Order: sequence, then C-alpha cells, then structure tokens
Amino acid sequence: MHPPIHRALAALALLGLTASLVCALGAPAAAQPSRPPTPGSWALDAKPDVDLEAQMFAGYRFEDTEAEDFNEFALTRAELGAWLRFNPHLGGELRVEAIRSAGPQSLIGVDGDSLVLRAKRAWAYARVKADPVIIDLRAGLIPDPWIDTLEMSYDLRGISPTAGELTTFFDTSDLGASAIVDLKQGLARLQVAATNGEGRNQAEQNTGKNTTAVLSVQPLRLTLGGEPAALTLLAFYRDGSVGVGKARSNRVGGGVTFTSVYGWAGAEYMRADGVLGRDQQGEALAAWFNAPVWANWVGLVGRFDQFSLNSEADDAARTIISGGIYSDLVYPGRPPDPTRFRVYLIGQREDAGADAGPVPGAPEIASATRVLLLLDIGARATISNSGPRSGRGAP
Amino acid sequence: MTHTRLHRAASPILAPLLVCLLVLGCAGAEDDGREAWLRNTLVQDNQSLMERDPALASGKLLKMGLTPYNYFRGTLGQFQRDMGQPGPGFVPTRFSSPEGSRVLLVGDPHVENIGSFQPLEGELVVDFNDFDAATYGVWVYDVRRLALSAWVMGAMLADAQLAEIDPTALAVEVARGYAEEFAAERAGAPPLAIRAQAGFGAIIDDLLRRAKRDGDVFEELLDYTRLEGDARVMFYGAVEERAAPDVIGDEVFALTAQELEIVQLGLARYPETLAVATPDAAMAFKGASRRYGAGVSSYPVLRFYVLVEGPTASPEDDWLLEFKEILNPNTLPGLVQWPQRRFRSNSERVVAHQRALQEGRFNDPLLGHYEAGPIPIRVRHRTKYQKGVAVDRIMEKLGEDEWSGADVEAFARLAGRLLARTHGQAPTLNGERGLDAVAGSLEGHEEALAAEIERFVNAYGPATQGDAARLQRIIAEHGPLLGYRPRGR
Repeated sequence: MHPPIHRALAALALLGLTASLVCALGAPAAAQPSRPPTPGSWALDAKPDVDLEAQMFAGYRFEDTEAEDFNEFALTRAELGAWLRFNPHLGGELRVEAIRSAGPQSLIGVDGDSLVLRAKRAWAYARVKADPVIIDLRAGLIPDPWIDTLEMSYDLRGISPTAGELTTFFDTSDLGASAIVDLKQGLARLQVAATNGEGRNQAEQNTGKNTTAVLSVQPLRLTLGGEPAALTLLAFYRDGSVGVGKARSNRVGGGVTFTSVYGWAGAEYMRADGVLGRDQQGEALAAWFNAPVWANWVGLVGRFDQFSLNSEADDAARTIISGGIYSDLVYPGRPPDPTRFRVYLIGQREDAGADAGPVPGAPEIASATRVLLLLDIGARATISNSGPRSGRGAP
Repeated sequence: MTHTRLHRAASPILAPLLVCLLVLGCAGAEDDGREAWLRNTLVQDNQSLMERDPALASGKLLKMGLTPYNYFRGTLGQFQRDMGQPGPGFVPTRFSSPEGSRVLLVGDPHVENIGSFQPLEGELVVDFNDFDAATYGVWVYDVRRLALSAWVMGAMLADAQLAEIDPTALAVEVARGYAEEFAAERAGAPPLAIRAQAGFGAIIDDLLRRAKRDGDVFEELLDYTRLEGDARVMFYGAVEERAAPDVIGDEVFALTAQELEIVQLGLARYPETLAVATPDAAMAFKGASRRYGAGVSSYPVLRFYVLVEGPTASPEDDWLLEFKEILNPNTLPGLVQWPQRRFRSNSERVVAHQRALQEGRFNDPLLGHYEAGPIPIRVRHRTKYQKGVAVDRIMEKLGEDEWSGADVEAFARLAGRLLARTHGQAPTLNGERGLDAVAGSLEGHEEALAAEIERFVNAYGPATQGDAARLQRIIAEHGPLLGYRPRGR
C-alpha cells in the first residue's frame, strides 16, 4: 500500500476509534438528557467546571562576560491557562503564553518588540477510568509527551527549562494526537503521540509525522515524613522529521527522578539524531535538586546542564552550573499545579568547549557569569458548576 | 457505567489505537541530510516572501539556480549557519575574541558588492555598496565571506577555461590583502582610498571609467525614463531581456495606487534623513515605476524608481531615486549581543551602517530612509555613477584576452584591503575603533589568517558548489518554491 494512503487510513481509523469510544461510553447518559447529570457520568449536558491558571517567571539578571556586562529586568514566562472539565471523562485545555513579537533576527515586531500572547496549548481529552487503569486520549495542540512527563516531577522550571527544551531538541507542544495509559496513578505510564513535528510556531511542512513514546515506572513508592515519596524511571524515543525537506529529528533518552517532602532530585540524558535540521548528532545531560532546609521558608537548589549540538566534535559541549537558595512565601503546589510564590537567588556559570558555537574556536564568546533574582508565581482558581471537588485539574 | 464495562470497552480499543498512532507517525526522514537541511533553511529564510508573493519568491530561487555565483549571493543565511554548526563550514577560527565579535560588519561582502560612488565633492571612489546585511559580529566571518566569493568566482572562471586561475589562490589573496591593509594602518599609513588610474588594477580602472562615462550622460534617465516634449516621464516595459522564462531581467511597471502612496509618503519623510540638506523643489515628484528583476537575494522585495526634479527645472538633470524595502539582516545563530536592537527600523540600520563603513559619509548624498507603516525603505540615488563590479564582465574581458588572471588576483587582494579598511574605521558595538578590536586577534598572526582562509575555502568552496547543484535538483524535483505550499493559496 502506498505510504500516504497508509497513513491517511491510520488517521481515519484513529478518529473512528476515538469517536466509537466516546459514543459507546457516552450513549446511556445521552439518551436521558433531562436527567440531572450525575457526578462521574458522561452526560452531554453537564455544565463544565473551569480551572483558571496563571504563571509568571520574572526577575532581574546581571551578566558578566569578557566582552561586556549587562543587566536587565526580564519576564521569561507569562501564561494563562484554562482547564475545561465537562465531566470526569471529557475536557480540554487552552493556554496562552507571552513571547517577544520580534524574532531573534528582527528589529521590528508588534509595536516595536512588545510581548504578545500566542497559543501554547489547545487540546481536548477523553478519559476512560477502569481501575486500576486510566486511559487518556488527547488531540489538538498537545503537550510534548517527554517534557510533559518529566515536568510532573520537576520543580525548578522557574530557573531553567528541562534539557530537552533548553537545547531545543524538543518543543513544548505540537499539533497532533496522543494516547496515555496510566496504571495505578503513575505506577506505570505509557504515552504515545503522533504529531506534525514542527512545534508550536509552524504549520505542518511535510507528509511525515513524528512518533514519540514515553514510558515511566515508579519502582519505589513510600511514605517519608508523612508524605508520599516516589522514585520514577523514565525512557523515551522519538522518530521524527522536520521541515519541508524532512530533515531527520530522532531522539532517545531517559531520566530518573525522586520526589519527597525532603526534596526533589533528578537527572536526564538524551541523544539527538538530527540537530538544527542537520544530519548531525547531539546529546544533553542534566541533573538537579531542590530541598527545603528551614521549613518551607528557605531551600537550596542546584542544577547542572551539559549539552552538545555536535557530538562528533572533540570539545563542543556547553556547560551551565547553577546554584542558590529559594524561599516559598506560600505553600507550593505540586507540578503541574502552578500555585506558589517563590523567590530564587541564583548564581550561574556558563562555559563552552573550544569547538562549541556560536563561534567555534572562540569559546570565551559564549562564556558568562550570571546572578539571577527570580520570582516564580502561580495560582489556580476553580469556577465550579458541580460543587466542591479536589485534586488536579489536568488529566 | 461500571468499571467492568469500561474495562471491556477499553481493552479492545487500546491496542489498535496505539498501533494507529505508531503507523500514523511515520517520519519518513530524507536520506540526504544536507539536501534536507538546505531545502528547509531556504524555505525558512524565504517563507515570508513565499507567502507574500510566490511568483517573485520563485523567481529568486530560479535565479539562484542559474549560476554558482547567484547561488552564493542568495545564501548568506546558509553561510551564517554553517560557520557555527557542524558541516562543511565547520572550521574553528583562531581569529576571534569577545572584542572581535562586536565589529561592525558589511555582513555580505562579496566581489559583486564592490562598486563606484560619486561623492558630494571630488572624484569617483570605490567602496562596498550593499549594506542590507550590515550588523555587528565576528570580523573573520566577513573575511571568509569575501574570500568565498572570490573562490566561487575563480571556480567559474576556471571551469570556463578563461584564464589560469586557482580559486584557492584568489581567496588567499583576499586574506593577504586584509592583513596587508591592517598592518599598514596599524603602522600609521592612511586608510585605503581607491581612485581611478592610481595603480589599483585593470578591473577598478574599467569600473571607474564606465561609471564616469555613463554617469556624466545620466544614462539612468535614458534607461528608465523618456522625454516627451519638454517633459520627462517614466518608461514602463522591459529594459533588459530575461535570463530565463521565469526570471525577470530588468522590467519596470506602473505603480498601483497603494504603491504610489508608499512612494509619496517617502518623498515627504525621507529628506529629513539626508546627510546634506536638499531644497524641497529638488524632491518634487515627477513619476515612479516598480522595478522587477534586480538583485538576487533582494529579487522579491519592493523596489521603486522615483523621478524627482533634481537641482534645476531642466528635465536633463532630474534625479532618479531607488526606494528599496530592507529586510532583516542575517545574523550568526546563537551570538547574543547587548543591546540587541539599536535601531528603530532596518532601513535606519542600513543607512547608519553604510555611512559608518564607507570612505566618506557623503558617498551618496541622496542616501536616506523612511518607514511606510511596517515597511522599512532605504532611498539612494539611482545614478550610473554607482556601478558595481560584475563577474559576467570579468568573464567577458578574460574571454577577450583584455584581462588576465593576474588582474583578477590583484582585484581579489584589493577587495581584501578594502574590507580591512572598512572594518578598521567603524566603531564597534563597544565604541572602540574597529582597527583596535581586530588587532587583538590578528596582530602578529597575519600569515596565519591566509592559512586559515585557505583551509576554509578548500572545505567550503566545493561544498558551496555542491549545494548549488543540490538547489538545482530540488527545484527540478519540487518546483521553484521547493515544495513549500503557501497558506490560503
């Protein structure tokens, strides 16, 4: 069979299966529209609950390089999100983020270089609960499976993205569909996604689709200090292409995280086959921790990143080491709940290998020492039509 | 609904669902990674133009496919990417430093971007003439770009068997010329000033002779306007034959109402940015046309020819102005500099940098800029005193045995000297003299610059030729938009 036809049939089959699932399970409730919706039902006339979220990373940065010093107040994240939950089985998310309107090479964007809002995620989900299994189907501008999974046990997004996003090996969202099978609330979780592969700033450019699979398991779950703690092992693989020219964009890697009331820690490693649209190899390694040392008021934080966009070169790695303290002025939510009012004071050193870009042979151009004073602020509020409830809004 | 029922419903659905996602997600990556990269980046760099005017964007890519030099001219973005990323251009340099990465660059120096100017006072001069890509960056990459242009030209001359020319030797001459001028100026010599019949070689003398001849008779008016009685009016039609059916040579058309508004706005605003005050009467509007077919990289951009009164009421000395849309400069990926944006618009950037980088601020007394809404426009005098070096002309003269390989080598060396003078005179992003910023990494290592440039062109010159052939293959297989499908069309 011709490959495009193959893929088109697969897409139709996927849509058909999704529709069948939703219709089959929703039919009984739909047949009695006058009956008040029962919590937990698939009733089509249910009034949705809405979780509103806001998150902002803002701060001051002083940077010292061999060529110059620089300092600025910066807003690195400003997001507004709304989770829609029609019932326990159907819902969606719409999230917008602020970005600078002029691109890296542009002098002019909107009204100079204003911060403007764009869609970061816009997707719907259908959820089937069959204890101990939960199955989610997602479609739209969906979260990247790897970043989405790792950030569930990563508490430092305010000071750094995870390695996949930092290196641009991954974009945070893409147009496509995914399926998640979750056993016993994260004991084992498999996510498979098919997406365009162009990320959130381009429409589809080629006929190929990216396939990403992420598997996570929690071999260790225990109670520490009266709170749950977990060790999570993660692995992923992506078969991808990008652009009109279908440049290779494959990824493979994994990670380990530990979360507890005494602190969070983790590490990730990935290899990239196809970097910057080129036929080249890259890799990235990151490790981090954060731990409260005085109640919730003061904590220590550290992060190490080392990545290379050119693994074949002898000395093309860039290294970023960050360390500092933080203080939570309100009790923080557990990611992805953004609720918190956290202040970071961070020292950071970035160095480049002799063959690293942007100017191979002149690594001092890419070296810098930074001091960061950052705010990580977020909140969530629920507009409920079905009475009080608890738990995460996200599926 | 019971869990048991859900279980039954979900189980048979889940497995095929995952299979569907896996089948759907066939990435189908191309085997020729370089070709895929080239195609992707050419689309990225031209995407806005492909959306705005697919026919003109197609014409640009077809024109780039006509000759290796045209390909070179249209791929500054690919050159910039290749400098810092793995691939054929990955040749680590010893000639950079934090200070040396903040030098004001021509951005796209190449042998066809060297041309003549008639300054406000004095005789004709020779200088770089295209500053659309001018920005702050790594000075040695400007040297590489100029040397690569000499290599590509040399390869074309060698392929045509027009002279005993070694492309690598031409590129090395560029580096030696750069180092020579740098060392001379550091020793206190006056900066290079290129004039006619002053020992700068046959190619320069020919350029200046033709510029003087054509400029004196206002040849631009003969080409693009006509005299009807006592009135001078615009000419509309083909001035030059097409090089290929879908590649415009030189054609001018009447303006639309919207284009006329852009032009008239410019005549009201742009005189404020002139370096030399000009009487209002000299800018009185007489006519305008839309010019198609000029340039390679800038082939699809807006370009208008505007006829104004000039110094007297006589139709014989009218001024023809060129209004040209200016796009963003290509910058080195990943090179972060503060402040990132020093200008309100790209046209302001280009004019400021041209005045800083040329021999005199008044090489073109009618140089200025304005913005028509979001469109930045640079204005220049479209006089035939401004004439550029052309590879075609060099091939023609070599074919007629009027010039020799030695003349071409002398020109390459002079081009290197000109670039050194240009870098040396302009202030860097830090405000220091360019000459001092370059000295940090070049002083005492002049001969090593030639060796590094030789390594670079030996690796990247053939790769550029290979990429030019790849572009031809891509166009043949996927069409002149390289397979990109403009949205909503």
